[in-house]
Amino acid sequence: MADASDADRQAVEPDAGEVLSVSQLNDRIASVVQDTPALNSVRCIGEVTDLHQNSTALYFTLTDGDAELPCLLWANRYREMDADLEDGTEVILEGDIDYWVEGGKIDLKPWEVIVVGYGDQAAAVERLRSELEERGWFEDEQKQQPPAFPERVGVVTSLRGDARYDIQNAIHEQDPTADILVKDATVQGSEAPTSIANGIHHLDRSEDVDAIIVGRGGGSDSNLQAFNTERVAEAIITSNTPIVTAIGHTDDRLIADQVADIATITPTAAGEYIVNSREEFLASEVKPLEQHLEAEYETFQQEHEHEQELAEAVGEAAAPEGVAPVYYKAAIAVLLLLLLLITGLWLGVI
Amino acid sequence: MANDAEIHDRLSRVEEIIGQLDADECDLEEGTQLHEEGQELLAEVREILDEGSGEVVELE
Repeated sequence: MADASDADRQAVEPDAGEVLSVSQLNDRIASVVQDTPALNSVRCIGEVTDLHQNSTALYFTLTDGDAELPCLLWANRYREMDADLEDGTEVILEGDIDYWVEGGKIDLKPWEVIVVGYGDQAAAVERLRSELEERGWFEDEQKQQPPAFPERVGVVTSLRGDARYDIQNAIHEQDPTADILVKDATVQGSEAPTSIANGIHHLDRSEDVDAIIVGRGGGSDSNLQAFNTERVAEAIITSNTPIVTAIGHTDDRLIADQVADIATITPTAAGEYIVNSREEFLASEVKPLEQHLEAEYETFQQEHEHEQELAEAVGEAAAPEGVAPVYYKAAIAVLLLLLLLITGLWLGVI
Repeated sequence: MANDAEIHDRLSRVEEIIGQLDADECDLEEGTQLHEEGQELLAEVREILDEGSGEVVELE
């Protein structure tokens, strides 16, 4: 642009030290995106993930396994297309890269969608799922029941993630006395499967860990791929310690969830599940039993005291009478004297 | 180790004691002893529930 105007040049070369508002900066980014020919009419191949829609548009992420790009397809345009999109569909999209100024987000808005087939990643997950199902890894017989009152809970997650604190807080909310052992793990990316599996093995070998929570916060399907791997599934199925998954997502089709003894949909839910509420248990189990014991003993005691009183009364009634009245004794004495007199007369003594 | 068995065993014994008192199978002195045993067991359950420090250990 040899004869660019001053205004144009200013847009490209801002004053050094100039402080922009977020809106101004986002406007500037939008201009760059809009005015870059390389970002218009692009064609991109990838796999559809995290598809959701409303009456206005379809929102999904296009991924090649290493990188992701948010996409937005207007609903009226989609209805005109001969394309049926779902998670795992491999597509070639043609459209423009757009920058949403208010939200500060970039996305691809396709006007053309060519369905290539079913994505490699999704197909691989389905193959693994079928294989593990054949091995019986999803069977209920394989499931262990976590204890209701664990002394120590193991957690495999990122030490720096929110999930770790959600789990911790939920556990201590229910039972402040439970100990928690947090094993740091990489929960996304190519290192994640090994890291998560090693974390599970490590805690499983700790004899004093009563139950293990494996989890992370929500994320795109690609972010959660580690939980769809054989490495993690194997660590879960071979664990002697009961495993509860706590992966923040709405899709219940993660392989780790299917293999786990218990699957919960958020880290908080896992924390709440893994320990019984101490207060609730006292109120619902211990206190009523205490009251029952006291009531039963009171009844027992009253019955026995009543019986004792009756026995005493019977005893008193059966006991010999006390000293006879004086006149009765006198009568006996007179009778004895008479007997002696008669005897005397009869013997001719008198 | 998890406390499930310890708690469960004690509560089961208390239920047994309640049954014995209800069935009236013993004299007053024995009943009083059973009642005291039940009270002790329930106190132990509370103690078990209070055990532990709630510590958080991080493993890199």
